[in-house]
Amino acid sequence: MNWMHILFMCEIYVILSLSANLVSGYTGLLSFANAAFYGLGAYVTTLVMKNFGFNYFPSLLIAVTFNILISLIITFFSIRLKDLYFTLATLAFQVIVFSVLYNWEKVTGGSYGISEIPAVNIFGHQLNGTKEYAMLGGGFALLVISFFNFFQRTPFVRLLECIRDRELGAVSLGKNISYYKSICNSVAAAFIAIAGSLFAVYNSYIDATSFTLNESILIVNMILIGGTGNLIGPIFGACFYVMLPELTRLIPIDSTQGASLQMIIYSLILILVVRFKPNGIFGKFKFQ
Amino acid sequence: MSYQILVYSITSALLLSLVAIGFNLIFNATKVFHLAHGAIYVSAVYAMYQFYNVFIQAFSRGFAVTLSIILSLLLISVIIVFVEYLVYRPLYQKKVNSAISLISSLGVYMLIVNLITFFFGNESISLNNNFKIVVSNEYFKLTEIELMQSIICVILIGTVILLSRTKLYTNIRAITDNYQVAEKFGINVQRTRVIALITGTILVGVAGIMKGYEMAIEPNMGLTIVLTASVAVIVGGVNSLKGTIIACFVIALIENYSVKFLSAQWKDLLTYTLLIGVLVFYKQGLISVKQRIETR
Repeated sequence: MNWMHILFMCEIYVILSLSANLVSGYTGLLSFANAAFYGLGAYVTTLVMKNFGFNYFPSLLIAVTFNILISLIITFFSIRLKDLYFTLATLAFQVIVFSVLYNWEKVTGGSYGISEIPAVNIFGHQLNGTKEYAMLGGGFALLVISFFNFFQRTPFVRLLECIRDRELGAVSLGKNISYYKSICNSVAAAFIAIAGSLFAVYNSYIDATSFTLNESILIVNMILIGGTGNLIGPIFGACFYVMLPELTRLIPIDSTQGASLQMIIYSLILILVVRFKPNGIFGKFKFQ
Repeated sequence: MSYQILVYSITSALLLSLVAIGFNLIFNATKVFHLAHGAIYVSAVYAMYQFYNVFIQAFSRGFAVTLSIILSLLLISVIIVFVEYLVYRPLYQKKVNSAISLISSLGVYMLIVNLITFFFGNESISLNNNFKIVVSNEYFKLTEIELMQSIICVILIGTVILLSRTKLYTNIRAITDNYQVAEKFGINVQRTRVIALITGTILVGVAGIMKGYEMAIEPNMGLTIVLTASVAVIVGGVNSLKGTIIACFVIALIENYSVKFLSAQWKDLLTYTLLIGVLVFYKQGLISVKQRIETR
């Protein structure tokens, strides 16, 4: 059992679920486009690093900027839609991004993916080995967690909670709701780009099948199981999801059955949580 | 060549309409974005396959096929009634919003699909795939199964459109509009929900079995088909059955004719671009009463 690998995956999913929580937990918009931004972050970092010979950090910056621009475009189309229809618009966006990544063979390599992604270089030190990547990922995860920890106490988040709980109230206070929602979407997309770039440089190979609709569904499930609207819920959900395969590995069955057994357990927990504890295990906000 | 594409479009549009009409009935009656529809679609094929393998040893082929179709349709109806009683009805009584019922439906979808994968493995199955060509001329060819699919689909769609003039469909429309008022007027909301769920389930089960005869089915393909059907429902206008059918034809024509200009892999992109276009610029759908779809 490779603990460092598990730690690294935990860090990536913590970043992903905290960013998804910013959109779904604080603003109350259920977005299925998280894996699209995850994939865009990974692909943009990779392409910039491979084609222009940039180092990791400048390419990460470019990926973050790119994701913010894309999120502004999708926000422009979807921000006026209400709950289910916003979800559908983000789902459509997810499918569109996936099919572009999967089929635009000239740029993204299509179903073959991109291999031999260069390693991260920090001040002349080439990272190698899972442990050093886990430290890099840990640095970013701590950054994101401390950002959200700070963010929780700002007056801005209370405005977001107001939009989530009583949109009409926020309007009557003269707040521009679409503006705040689009800020949330952009910040989440920026953080998700970090997770995508980490995933790309760690595996040194990416292909589009890591960024399907199922991945988005998993991210949403993580925050719903853990609970939305606070810090501990999404972190718990992400760690739980990454740890679950290690638990089912103790049962002696073959790997296909093991994978489906995980998903059976996972979906049962999801159904039970939605049915009996709609605000998740640690959640603050009830999704209704 | 062109006529052949037209024939393909019509048969796939008819199959898609069965799924989409079922989705539409369930969406209107229960307000659940019923993604588990895709799991039902796949489980009908697997149930049929399993029953057929059992019965073929004891009975003649025709009888075994009939019996296993009936039993698999019965099985999926039982599954959907369980889902309604255990998941959807409690959530309906709690008055949760549409996003959370979507998530619960997604949970049901994942549960059923992974149970199928757990017991039957990940391989794709096909019920039978050597069919004679029955119609062949200089313009197009039509195989036995395509002809049968079209006939069955037309019969079923015709039945549903006839049924849509009865009291039952009026009840569904009333529940869609305002279920509290409908309840006050003596409409049995719970019973109507169950009937709508079973009707939709049988339609999607028939579609799944016919698709299983045409080509191989694997456990995860249900999500794609139900999402395409839901796009058709939204594009056609949520509470119009005719709009749904027209939208199915539009989508099938777009998907099949795009193959002439683009590679076949891009058809998802076109379908969902259509969805975004409708959501942004034409909110009420193709055919509907004058109301924004999101206010329902």
